[in-house]
Amino acid sequence: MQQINFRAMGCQMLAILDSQSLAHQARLQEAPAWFETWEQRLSRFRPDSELSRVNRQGGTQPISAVLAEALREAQRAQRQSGGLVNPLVLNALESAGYDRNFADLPADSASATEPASPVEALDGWLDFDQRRLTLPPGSRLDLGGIGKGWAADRAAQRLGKLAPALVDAGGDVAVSAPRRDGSPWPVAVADPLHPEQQLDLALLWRGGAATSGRDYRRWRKNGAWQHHLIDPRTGRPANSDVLSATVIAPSCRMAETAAKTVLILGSLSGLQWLDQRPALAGLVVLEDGSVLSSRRWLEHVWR
Amino acid sequence: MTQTRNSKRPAAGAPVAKLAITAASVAAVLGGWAVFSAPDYPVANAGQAVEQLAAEWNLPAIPTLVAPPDGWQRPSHSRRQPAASQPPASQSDFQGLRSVSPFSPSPLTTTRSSR
Repeated sequence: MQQINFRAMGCQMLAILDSQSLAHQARLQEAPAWFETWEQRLSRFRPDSELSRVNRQGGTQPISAVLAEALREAQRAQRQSGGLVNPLVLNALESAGYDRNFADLPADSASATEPASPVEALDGWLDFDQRRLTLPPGSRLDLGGIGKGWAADRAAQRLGKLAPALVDAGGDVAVSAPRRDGSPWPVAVADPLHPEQQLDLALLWRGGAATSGRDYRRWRKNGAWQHHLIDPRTGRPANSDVLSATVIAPSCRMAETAAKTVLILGSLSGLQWLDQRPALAGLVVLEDGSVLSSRRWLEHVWR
Repeated sequence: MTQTRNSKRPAAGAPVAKLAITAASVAAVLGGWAVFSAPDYPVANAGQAVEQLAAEWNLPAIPTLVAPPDGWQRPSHSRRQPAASQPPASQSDFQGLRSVSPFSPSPLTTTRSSR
C-alpha cells in the first residue's frame, strides 16, 4: 500500500494505491500535478483560471475539455437533484460573504446585504459536443464540491488502471475497485460535533462517499451565521435541520450531489429522497446532535 | 576387616510406591493434554459471550484479553437511529440503536465536510 498526501483545491488530499510497485509509486507522485492542472481550469478563487475568465467574459465562449467535462457533471447534478444543486450560485455565495478563499475569510464582516433572489435553473447553457458555454448576462458559475468530486473520481480512475486506488479530496472519497485481497476500503464517517470521533464505518467496494455539512465552512456576516451551501430556491444559505449529510453512491460526484441535496431538503424529505434511489444510502446528523440513516445505510457499513 | 555397607537401603515397599507416583504423574500429564486440546472457544465471539453473560447476570462486562485493532474508537451508539423499513413520516420512524463491532477494521481515511 502506497500513499501521498498533498494540498489542492483548498483542501487536504490523499491518494492511496494498493500496490508495492516502484513504477506505480512514480505514477502516484504525479497526482498533485493532476489536481494542479484541474484547479487551474476549475477554481473560482484563481483570477487566471479558465472558470474565472469565463465568468468575467459571459456570453457564448469556447471552453476546454476539462471544463466541459466538469460542467457536464454540474448539469447532471442539477438534473438529478431537481435543481437543488445549481452551479450558477456564485453571485449568491458572494452575497453571503464567501468572496475569497475560505482561509482568508474574516470571522465576521460588516457589509451591506443585497436582497437575495432565487437562482435561475437554466437549460441549454452547455453544448458539450461543441465545447461551448453560453452564460446569460449576470450569471456566474461555481463548481464547488462538484469539481472536487469530479477530480477525485478522475484521479481514482487513472490510478485504478495500475492497481486498486482510493482518492480522498478533502473528505470526498472515490474508490476504483476493491483492494487486492478482495476486501472493501474502510472509510470512517466523522462526527461533525466531535470531528476527532467517528460515527460509523463505511465499507466501499467501489464508487464514492461524500459529506456535505455546515459544521466547518461557515462564517459570520453582520453578526449572522452564513455557510457555503446555497439553496437555489431562496438564493441564501440553506436553512434546514441537517448539520451534515453523508452519502454513499456509485461515484464520488454522485455522492457529493446527493449529500448536498439531502442537506438542503432537510432530514425527513432528504432521507425519503435517498430511499427512493436504490443506488444511494445516507446518514444525517441533525442540529440537535441526533443521527438518522436511510434504509440502505446498513448495507454499506461494518457490522 | 570391616566392610562398609550402604545404610540407606530401600525399604521393602518402596518400588510399589514409586510405580504408583509415576503412574499418577503420567495420568495427570495425559489428562491435562486432553483438556487443553479440546476445541478452542472462538476468539471473535469472546467479547460477545462476555457481554451476553454480563447482561444475563446483570453484571458489568469484564474486559477480554483481545485488544481492539489500532486506531479503533468506540462509536457513539447512543445517538444512532437507523431508519425504519418504510419511508418515514416523522423522526420517530427512525428509532433504534445499532452497535458497531469492536473488531472493526481501522479506517484508511474519513469522509467529512470539506477541509
